[in-house]
Amino acid sequence: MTTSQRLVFLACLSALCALVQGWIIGLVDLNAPDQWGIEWQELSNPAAVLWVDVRARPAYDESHFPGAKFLSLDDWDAGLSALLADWDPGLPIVVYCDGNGCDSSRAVAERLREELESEEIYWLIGGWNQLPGRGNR
Amino acid sequence: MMTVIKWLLILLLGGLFLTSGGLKLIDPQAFGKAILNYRLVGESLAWLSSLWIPWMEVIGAVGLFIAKWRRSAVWLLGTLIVVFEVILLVTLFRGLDIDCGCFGTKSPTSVSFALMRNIIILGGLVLLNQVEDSQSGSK
Repeated sequence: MTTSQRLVFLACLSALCALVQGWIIGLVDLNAPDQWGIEWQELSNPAAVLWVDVRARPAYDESHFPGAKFLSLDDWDAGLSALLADWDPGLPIVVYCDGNGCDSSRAVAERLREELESEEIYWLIGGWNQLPGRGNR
Repeated sequence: MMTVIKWLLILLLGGLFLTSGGLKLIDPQAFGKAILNYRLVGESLAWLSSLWIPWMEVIGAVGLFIAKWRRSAVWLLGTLIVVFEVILLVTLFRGLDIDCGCFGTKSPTSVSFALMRNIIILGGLVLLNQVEDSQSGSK
C-alpha cells in the first residue's frame, strides 16, 4: 500500500468507528439547553451577583455591566485572582459573553464551578445582548 | 540523535492527539456543541464531525507509533490541523468569541491561543515528516 492509500484507509477506519459510535449513542439534540444557563429574568436580585465578563478586553474596557470583573481564557490566573478578591463563597456568579453564539461563558462557568467548588455559578443565556442598558464604563 | 528527536516528537504528538481525541470521544455532545458554535455547519453535520474528528485524532495518534503507518498518520493529522487553522482564522476574522473545543470542555481555550498552538503542532508534524524522510533516505 502507498502512503496515500494508507491515508485513505485511516480516514475510512475513523469514519467507520464514528459510525459505530453514532449508531450506539444515537442522534443527540445539540441545541438542547445547557446546564447552568440562566435567563436575565430568572435572576431575583441581579445586584447581589458577581458578574464576570469574558468578552474581548477592548469590549470590556469600552463598556461592561456595573461591577463586572474581566476574565480571559488567555490570562486565567490573573483574572481569577482579581475575581476572588471580590467573591465570597455563597455569592452567585454569572458569566456573560458577547451574544447568543458564544460559548466561552459556558466554558468559563464550568471551569469556575470546578475550581471554586460552588454550585451558584451560571452563564447568562443570550450574553451581553440580554443585559439591560448594556452596562457602563 | 535523529532517532531520539523522532521518538520525542512521536511521544509528544501522539500523546497530544490521543488526549485531545479521547477527551472529545468521552463527551461528543459537548464537542458537537462546540462545532455548532463556529456557525459553519448545521446540527447533523456538527454531530457527524463530533464523532469523526476525534476518531481521526486517536487513530492518527496510534498510527504515529507504527513505522509503516507513520507517514500516513502525519498526513492525516497535518490535514486536520490545516483545516482547523483555516476555520480558526475565519472565526477570528468574524469576531466570534468562542471556546475552540480542542480539548473538550474541561480546558477552555480561546481561538487566538489555539491558532498559535496549532502552528507549533503543525511544525512538529512537518519536522517528524522530515526526520522520517531523511532516515528512510539514508537506509
